[in-house]
Amino acid sequence: MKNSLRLLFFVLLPGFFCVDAFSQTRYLTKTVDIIVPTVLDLEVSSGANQIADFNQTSKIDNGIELLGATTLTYKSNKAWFITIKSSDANFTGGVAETPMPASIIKFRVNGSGNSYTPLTASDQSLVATMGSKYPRGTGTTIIDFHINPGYIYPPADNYSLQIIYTISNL
Amino acid sequence: MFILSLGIEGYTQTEPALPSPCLNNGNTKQNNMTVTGTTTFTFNTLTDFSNSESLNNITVEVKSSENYRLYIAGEMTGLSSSSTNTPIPINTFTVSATNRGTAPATITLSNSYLEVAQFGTKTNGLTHVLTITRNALNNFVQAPGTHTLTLHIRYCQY
Repeated sequence: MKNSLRLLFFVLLPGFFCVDAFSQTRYLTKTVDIIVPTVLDLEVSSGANQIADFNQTSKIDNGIELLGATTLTYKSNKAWFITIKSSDANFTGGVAETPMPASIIKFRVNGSGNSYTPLTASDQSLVATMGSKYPRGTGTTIIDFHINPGYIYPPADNYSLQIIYTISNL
Repeated sequence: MFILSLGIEGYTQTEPALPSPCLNNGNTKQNNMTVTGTTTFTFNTLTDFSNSESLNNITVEVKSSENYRLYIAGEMTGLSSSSTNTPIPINTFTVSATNRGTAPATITLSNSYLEVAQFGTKTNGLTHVLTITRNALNNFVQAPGTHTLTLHIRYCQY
């Protein structure tokens, strides 16, 4: 019994010294959590409402090009891409028997080196793609339009079409 | 086994280099520091990323038999180790303390110790409330999730 107590004493004694040596009462750490939620935001920062007035023959002949028409501002803290589509396959307004299709509007990311793509009611890649997303961050994308209905559709002043931009991280 | 684990814990702390002077006089009972409170920054709206936010939930109480200075450093841990994440820059945060004495009113947090409070005599318990400010974080290059800022808090006699 005496030997057991003696053994216990020698086991515990270094333990007390150890605790004292490492007591950090003059140095402490404290953690602060910063909880960052997923951000995925797209805003039409300029050019939300575009008007194309075909008031000259030359405009009907050549169409109207709207350079730098619309600016999108994106914020995303995950890899992202943006698509574009029209709300419907055809414009509203005009004459029902001769609907004006969305494809008379062509779009491109601003820059003469980029080619125009006809607008449709299905999502099409505007910036990056689902398989090749852009890295997280914030910035702007500027879009050009070329609108060319030609002489096919009856005159009217109420042709209208909604364009939908979608940012995604899926 | 118990003793071994204490030893390991003591060595795994990566404290920044000590400021100078940093005296270690007196016994532990009369010379110690306690830190209480928790701080969590959240972003409830998109505009929160463009604004700063200040929280004052952390309190440091110092008992000292001699005059002392209080120092704070910081480091980002947690998500910052992820290969795809950009850590929150440590200088996004500023810290100020009550009862700061001649210490600067506000410090911009860094990996090295900076003085946040100074007290020119002994005390049986002086409280320093820390105000931690997170500045704008609106470049969205940090991955979503919980990022952890570790504050190193050191009390030194001088």
